Amino acid sequence: MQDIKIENLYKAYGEKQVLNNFSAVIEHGKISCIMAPSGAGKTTLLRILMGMEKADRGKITGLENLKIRAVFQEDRLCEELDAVSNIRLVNYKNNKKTVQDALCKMGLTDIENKPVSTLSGGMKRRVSILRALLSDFDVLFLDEPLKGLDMHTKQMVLNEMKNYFENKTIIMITHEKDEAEFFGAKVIGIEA
Amino acid sequence: MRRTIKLWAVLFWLLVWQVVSMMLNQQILLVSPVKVIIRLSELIITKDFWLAIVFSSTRIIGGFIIAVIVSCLFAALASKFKLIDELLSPFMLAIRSVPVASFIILALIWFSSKNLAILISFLMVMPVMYSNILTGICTIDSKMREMAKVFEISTIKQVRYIYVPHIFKYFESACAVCLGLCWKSGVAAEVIGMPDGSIGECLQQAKVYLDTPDLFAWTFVIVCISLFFERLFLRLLSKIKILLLRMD
Repeated sequence: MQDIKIENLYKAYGEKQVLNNFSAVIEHGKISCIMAPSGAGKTTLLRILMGMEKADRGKITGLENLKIRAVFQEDRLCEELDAVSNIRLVNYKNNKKTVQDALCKMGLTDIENKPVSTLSGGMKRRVSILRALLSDFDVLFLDEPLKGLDMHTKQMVLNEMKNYFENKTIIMITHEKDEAEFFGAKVIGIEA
Repeated sequence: MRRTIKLWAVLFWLLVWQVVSMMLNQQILLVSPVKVIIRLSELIITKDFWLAIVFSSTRIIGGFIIAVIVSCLFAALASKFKLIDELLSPFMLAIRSVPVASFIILALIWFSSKNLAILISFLMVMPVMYSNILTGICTIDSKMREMAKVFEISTIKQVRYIYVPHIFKYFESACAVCLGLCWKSGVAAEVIGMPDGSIGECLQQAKVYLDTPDLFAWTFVIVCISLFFERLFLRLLSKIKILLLRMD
């Protein structure tokens, strides 16, 4: 599979130029972390890569016909479904037992049959991460996935994520240098 | 906050009613609750009482169900095609604004009174139902749509697990309002149109003969049937919702 090439990307919202001639190469089967100050266009870049927004100018290659999945900045879960159903909704091939085991490894026990609307913010975050990890993906985009998690939970989730990241193309937005170091990720910066 | 009706409060107001009725001592003006219960016990053993309930219920609930189906269809189309929304907006506004009595009289000129309650119940329910369902569809979070697109969730699953649970909240509240509304308007239509063997006809007879016990007894029956259907329908909806959200 070829690398993802981003060439001379431009994006503006009205007068505000968000991406200005941005270029980068994202290696296939590797973990890349996009790090930049707030408002530098990290999420915009991710949205363009996911095909949710169009760039004003520029070219992206290497994402054609790939299964793209994501962990969004918000949880975006079906509030009335329980955690297992939310995860199985995006990949029905996962049986209940597999999902329940994966939830346990994320520290999510005793949440069976509870709608996610009743879970805490940190729990929802983990369900949202696991939904993406258990989905069948070629490329996974993560937009500040660990935001709002306490140190202990964050470490547990990071360890768990690593198991799913092997030989996968991962593009993660983060503000934390230690997260990039943990994965041994290539850091891509965006000039503000 | 869900407000529940306490038995002690009901008994208090029944007592007030009984005392006022005794003070007035004029059965035509205000019949006592005891007299109403006696009259009701006389009515429920007659065949005509039950036939009137079946006659009116089938028509009023029939009108309600037709309105639900048509509203769902119209709201789905209006959410998809702006032109349909624009086309239906003045029509819905007109139905909402025109007094129900005008519709009843017009309907009596056009059709027979037998099925009048179906039309009136339909007309009163449809705009409320349409507006609620359309709001439900239009307020579906675009972020959830994006999520569904990224994860390539099939349309059927999107409808079942994302759209329907969201729209259901709006639909349920519309049902709670409309089930009371369809009974009020349906019976009002029957009182004016007086179709043979209907609850409305019984109410009209009570008015003509100044039969206050009959009037109160029938009013009590209408309230009970209306509440019964409301509870039944809402319970049915919650069961349907549970079935829809079930993932095996």
